[in-house]
Amino acid sequence: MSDNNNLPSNSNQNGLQNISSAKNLLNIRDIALKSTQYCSRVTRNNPSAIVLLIDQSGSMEEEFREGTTKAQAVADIVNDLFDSLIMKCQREGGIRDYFQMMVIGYGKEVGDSEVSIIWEGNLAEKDWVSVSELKENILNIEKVETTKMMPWGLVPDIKTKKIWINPCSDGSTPMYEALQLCKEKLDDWIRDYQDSFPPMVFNITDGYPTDIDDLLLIENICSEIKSIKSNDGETLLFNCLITDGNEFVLPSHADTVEFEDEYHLTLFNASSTLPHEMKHTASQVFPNKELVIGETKCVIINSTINSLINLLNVGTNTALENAAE
Amino acid sequence: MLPNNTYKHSIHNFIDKDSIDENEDAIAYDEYPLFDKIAVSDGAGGAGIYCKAWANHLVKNQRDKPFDSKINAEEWFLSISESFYKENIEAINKMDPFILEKFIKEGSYATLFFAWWDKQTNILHYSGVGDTTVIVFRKGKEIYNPILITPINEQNSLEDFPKLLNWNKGLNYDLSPLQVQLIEDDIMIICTDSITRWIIYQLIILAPTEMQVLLSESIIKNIDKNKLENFNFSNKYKDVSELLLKLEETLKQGFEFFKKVLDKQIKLNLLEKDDFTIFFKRI
Repeated sequence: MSDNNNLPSNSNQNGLQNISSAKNLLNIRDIALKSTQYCSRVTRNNPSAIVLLIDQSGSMEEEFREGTTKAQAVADIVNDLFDSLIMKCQREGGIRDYFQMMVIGYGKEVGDSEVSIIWEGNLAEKDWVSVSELKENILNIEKVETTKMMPWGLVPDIKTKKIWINPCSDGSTPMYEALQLCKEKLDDWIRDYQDSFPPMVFNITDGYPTDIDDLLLIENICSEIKSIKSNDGETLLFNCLITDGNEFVLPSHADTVEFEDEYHLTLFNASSTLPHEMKHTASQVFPNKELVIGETKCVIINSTINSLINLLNVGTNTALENAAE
Repeated sequence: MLPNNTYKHSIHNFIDKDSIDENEDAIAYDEYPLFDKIAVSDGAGGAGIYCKAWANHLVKNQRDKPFDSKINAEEWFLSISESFYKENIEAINKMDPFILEKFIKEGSYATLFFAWWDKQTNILHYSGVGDTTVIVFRKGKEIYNPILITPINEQNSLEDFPKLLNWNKGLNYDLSPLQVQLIEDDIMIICTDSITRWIIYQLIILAPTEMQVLLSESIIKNIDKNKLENFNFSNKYKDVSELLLKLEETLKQGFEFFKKVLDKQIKLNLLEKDDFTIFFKRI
C-alpha cells in the first residue's frame, strides 16, 4: 500500500515531475502553516540576545520611589531580572544558556568614553554574557535564612539578593552613542545566530539625549537597530522613559495627541511595534485588555517602577515561552 | 519483558535536548497475577526544578490499589510530597544557592496518569491530572473507534497549559478514580501530550462523529484549523483500525524505529518537539 494515497502516483511517464510537484506542494504547505515571526524556539544552540541600555547620567540620582534613587531602582530591577532569568534557565543538570546578555551604560565616563559595557569583576572584559557565566560571576550575594510552610510543615528556606550591576549616576546622557554601540554589537551577534528568536533591546532612560541636536537621529539609529533581523523577525526595541507625568503604557497612535513633549513622540516612533505574538503576554502583564487590539508601540512614557518591570517581563516571558524544555 | 500486545517507549526530545538523561517523562508498568498498574507522568521542566525526578517519584509510588476516596488520595499525595523533599534536600543543600532557592520556592511540576487494570473484572480504574491521557478504542462490527479520551478532554483547548501536581503545593486536584469496563480486543493507549495531540488530530479526521462526543465543545471550537488541515493533507490512514495497526507495528519494531517515525512526523509539522512517552496495550 502506498504510504500516502493523496500523493500523485509516480508510475506514469511524468512520475518524477509529479513527485517534484508534490514536494513543492508540501513546501508551500509548510510555509503557509509556519508562523512567520517571533516563534523561533529558544534553545541552547539557538539562544536569544537581550541588550539593556541604562542611562547612568547625573539625573538618575533623583528619587524614583521613597528613599530610592532612579539609578538604584533600575540596578535593583536589572539584578532581579538576571536572578529571575538564571532561575528560569536552571535545571538540576545545570544551566540552559537560552540567553546572551549585554548591559551598556551611558553617562559615566570610563576611560575616554561616556558609553561602555558595564560588566564588572570577572565579566569586565566581556561583551556578551551567557546565563551560566552570569550565574558564576555574582559580584555580591546577601543571604537571609528563613523558613517556608510546606503542606506537611515548616522547612528551612533561604532568601538571597544578588548583585551584578551597581547603580551609577554621573555625567550627561549620550544615548545616541549608546544606541550606536548596541547596533554594532548586534550586527556582529546576528551573523552567528540567524535562526534565533530576534534580539530584544531595552533602553531605560530618564532624560533627553545630550549627544545630538536633532532628535531625528535617535529615530534613525533606532530604525537601524530594528532592521537587524534574524530569520524570525526584526530586533525588538523597547524604550522606557522613567520621568514624572501622565503615564502612557504601550501607547497607540491615537495616544500620541496627548503627548506633552516632542521627545515623547521621538521615543514612540523609535520603538518597535508590539508584535502580535507578544500581545497575549502584554495583556497578561499589563491589566489592559485593549493592548490585544490594534497597533501599539513598545514604549512607556513617564514609567513607574512596576511598569518598567512589566515591560522587561513582556519581552523575556515571550522568549521564555519559546524556550525548548 | 513485556507481555504480548503490550508496548511502552519513552524518548527524550531528541531535536532540542542533548541526551536521553534529559527525558522528563516517566513511565512505570507493573504486572501482577490479578491486576496490572500503569503510571505515566510528564515532568514540566519549563517551570520548577527536579521535575524529572518528581515525575519518576510519582510513577514509582503508585499504590497497588486505586484511591478509595478523595481524602485517601490527599493523604497519599502528602506522604509522597514529604518523602520527595526528604530524599532530595540533603543533596540539594550541598549544591549552589540557586538550585536550593528554586527547589524551595518553585518546587517541581508534573502531570500524572494512574491506571489499574483489574484482570478479573476487566475494569480499568484510572486517575489523571493534566494532559497525559488515556485513549481507549473498541472494535465495532468492522473497525475500531475511540470510546474514552481523558483527562485532556477537561481542558478548554488541546494546547492549554496543563494542570500540574507540585509537591510544595498540596493536592489541588481531585485524584478520585473513575472506571471503564473493558472488553476483549479493546486497545488502551496512555501517552504524554505531544503524542496525545497527534492521535487526537488523526481521530478528528478518521472518527469525527465519535470525537464530537468525546471532546468538549470548547476543545472542538478551539481546534487549530491550520494544524487540522495539515493532518488532512498528510492523512494516510483509511480508518481508525489502520491507524492503530500502523501504530502497533511501529511500536513493535522497537525504540530506534519508533524514534525514526517520530522524527518524520516532526518534519511534517504534525508532531510537536517534546519528550515522547507511549504505553500501548491490546486487551
